Amino acid sequence: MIELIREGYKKRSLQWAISLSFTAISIISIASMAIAFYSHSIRTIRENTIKENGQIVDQVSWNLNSYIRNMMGISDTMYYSVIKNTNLTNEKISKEMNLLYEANKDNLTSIVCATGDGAIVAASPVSSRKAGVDLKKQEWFQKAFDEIENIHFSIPHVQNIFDNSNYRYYWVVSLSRSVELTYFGSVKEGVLLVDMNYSGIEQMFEKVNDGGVGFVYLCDSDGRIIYHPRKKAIYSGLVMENNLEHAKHPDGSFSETFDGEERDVVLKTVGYTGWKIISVTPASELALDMGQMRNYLIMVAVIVLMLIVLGNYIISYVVTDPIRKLEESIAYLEEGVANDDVMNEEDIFIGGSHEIRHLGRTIKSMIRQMKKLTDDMVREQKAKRKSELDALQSQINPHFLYNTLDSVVWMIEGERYKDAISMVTALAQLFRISLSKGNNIITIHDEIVHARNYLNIQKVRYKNKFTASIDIDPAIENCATIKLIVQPLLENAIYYGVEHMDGEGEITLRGYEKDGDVFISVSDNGMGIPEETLSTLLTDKARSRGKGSGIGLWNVNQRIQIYFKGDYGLIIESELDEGTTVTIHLPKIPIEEYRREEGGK
Amino acid sequence: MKRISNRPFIGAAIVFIAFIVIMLLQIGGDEANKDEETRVSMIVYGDDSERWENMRQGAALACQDKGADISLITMLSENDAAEQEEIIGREIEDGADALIIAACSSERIREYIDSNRIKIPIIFVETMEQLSGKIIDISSDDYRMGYELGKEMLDSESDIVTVAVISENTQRDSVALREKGFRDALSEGQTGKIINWSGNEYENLAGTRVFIQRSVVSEATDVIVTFDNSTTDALIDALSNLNMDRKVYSISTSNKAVYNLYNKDIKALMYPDEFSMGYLAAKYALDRKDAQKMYSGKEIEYRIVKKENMYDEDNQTLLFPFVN
Repeated sequence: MIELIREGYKKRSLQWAISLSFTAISIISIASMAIAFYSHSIRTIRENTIKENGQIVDQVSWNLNSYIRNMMGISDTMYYSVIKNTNLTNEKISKEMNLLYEANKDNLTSIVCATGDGAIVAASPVSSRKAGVDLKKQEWFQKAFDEIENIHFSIPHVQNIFDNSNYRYYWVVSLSRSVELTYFGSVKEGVLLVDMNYSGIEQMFEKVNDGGVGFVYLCDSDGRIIYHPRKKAIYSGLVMENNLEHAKHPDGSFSETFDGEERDVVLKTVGYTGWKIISVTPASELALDMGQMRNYLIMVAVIVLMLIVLGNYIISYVVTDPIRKLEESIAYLEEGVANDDVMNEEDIFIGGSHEIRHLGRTIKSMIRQMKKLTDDMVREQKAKRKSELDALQSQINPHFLYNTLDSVVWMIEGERYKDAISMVTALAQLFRISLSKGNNIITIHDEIVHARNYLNIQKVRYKNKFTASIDIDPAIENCATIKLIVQPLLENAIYYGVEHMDGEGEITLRGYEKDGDVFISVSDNGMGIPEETLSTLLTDKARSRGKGSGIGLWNVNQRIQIYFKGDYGLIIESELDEGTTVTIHLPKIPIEEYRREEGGK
Repeated sequence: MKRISNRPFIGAAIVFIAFIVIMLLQIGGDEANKDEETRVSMIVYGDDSERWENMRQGAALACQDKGADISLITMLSENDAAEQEEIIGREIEDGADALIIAACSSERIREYIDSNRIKIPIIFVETMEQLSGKIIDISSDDYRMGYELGKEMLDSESDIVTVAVISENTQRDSVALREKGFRDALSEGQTGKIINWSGNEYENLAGTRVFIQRSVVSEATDVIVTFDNSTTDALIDALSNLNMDRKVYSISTSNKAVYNLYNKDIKALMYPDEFSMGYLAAKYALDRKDAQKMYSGKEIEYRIVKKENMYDEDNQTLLFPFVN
């Protein structure tokens, strides 16, 4: 996998690599930052929530304490100020009880004073007792005697003492205590009951639970629920609460996992009663509150990320674009070199930062030097080739000179002094043209004059064994040609074509223009050239072949191709027993134009 | 020279804009959701909303958990199926997101629901037999309640008592099943004469009460049995009017029945947990998957309560709703 990524990375552009690397780093950085910030926020919010819940619990505890103390105060007042040491028959008990009830009836359901055997001594408000109700069997009554000197607090229950009209019933929390009743001097055991309205406690907690996260509930020291916002659902088994565990837990805050849910719990015990106020905050409710912040955080992170990605892209573009352009210009140059185009250092891109510009300039300088070296090399090669051909050309002269002088010697020996004079004159003319003031390029006219002189010499030498005709289009006479290219062809036509034909040999020299080019052909009616020989005449092997110097045709062809390039050179056509035609193919360049161009170079 | 491609810029811009739009839509959606609270309608029979208070509280608690709103809709009469059909139709038109129905006539309402292809969730409270599709009912085992009430009566009364069975409101499958269970229990034991007081469907409590008064006066009985709230209340009123005492065995959740359980005629009261019925019905109405996960296979509890045990801690919470 890593190898694949590495390979993929290598294939991509520098800009892509820089952009991707920076983007990846940015994503990791921003994601880490966002996660850290989010985690920190969650922790902070959680801590703050626990703190707030702690304050709420303290507040509720204070309120509940006040409420309970108030109720205990009623019980104490009733007992210590009214019942104790007062004869049961005294009307004062009922009167004081009614006064106390009236003063606190918002929080009270009833106040009852009963004897130890369950008989009601006094009650407020006055109401008819339910038939068949045995107070002794009720929990509050029994607990009062279990906890003498203490006030017992019951859990909420439906009051079952008085008959209420309209099918009403009252949920109450009973404060019961054992009391001493005085009856005509004797002291009896009795129970004083103060039934607190459960709705008072309920309202206190409902206010706290109205809004905000989590909930607060109340249970007694045994974990029996006194108030819970879902108490009915808990009683019905629809909802679970960890009240039994909470009851055992000391005051403070802690986290727990209950019923698959993580929750923060704050506990506080209410003095005297042992009741516990418990604040529970499920983590899922905190998460709901965090949802909006999380969304905003994601949005901000993504916006920042987008801007960074865009910035990365622009910066990487600015940084890498000059490199890319430089690379493209080098590739363009490479392409040109591959296609044999001229290397042009001006195509090299120079731009961007100073490092890239320096690189471009260095490459440009290198190309310039390379170009100079290449040109020098080509020039040297060309000069070398030329000097080689000049050496070849110079080989003609002794070759021809030997033959001509041989003929002159032969004429003088035969006392043909006129012919000898004529021949030496022609030879002189021949050399004059050969010299041509050192120019290799002469007019076709001069070349033909040269050829004619040569033919004249050879005719004398070969005692007119052949006839020669010359037909040159005047239109091409002023065109440029390489000197001494017709004479070797005439020489070949004589040596290999008509030498042994005893006066029947014919040599035709023609010059004409065709398709904008110049053609000079030398034809003979000799025996022709065998095909296998024909195919090698213009190859390198021809240099070491045959009579004389053996270098005529190859030399001429090479010289034409060096000077004029392209498709120019010799064309050889031959048929056995019919004859041979060797045609020189030259570009049609007027001599003035050629000299002008040469002068320009 | 190659020109720089615009595609990455365009791509980034599209992703960026799409993200912003999605976020705004989501935030907007959250705001809209706050405004448009899910509304659950609880359509019940009878005109006494107090009778359904316990069930409403259960449904309200479930709705509160889900941030939904619950409204209790009663009828003008006890058994007018046409009226209940009209209410159902009107609630759907008014945009209720789910319906919890206590059908006054099982057959009629079942047919109405089936024929109208209602697309919102519908949950029946009380037994509805032969429900089609995804419609479910949340109820106690009515047959079992009737059967156990019969067993209780057999155990408590002598073999020769005359038993009057008031067969009212049997157009409701729940009542019919309770009665069937009770009669099956009786057939397994020994009693005296069994009298059937049935065949009359009265539109209001007064009509039923008069019918029962006449029946009580005309036929001597030791025990009278009822299977629903309104009939039980009518019987209590009838006995009170006549100043007559009878042993009553009843399946009811009315305050009157609870009051009379201690003070007067009712010897045994079969009391289903309507709070749980309402809670679960709303749970199913709002999130069936969640509800099934939590409460699949859970049966609605019922208890047989007598004077002696009605103030027990467990029974108190069932018989006396906290908010009075």
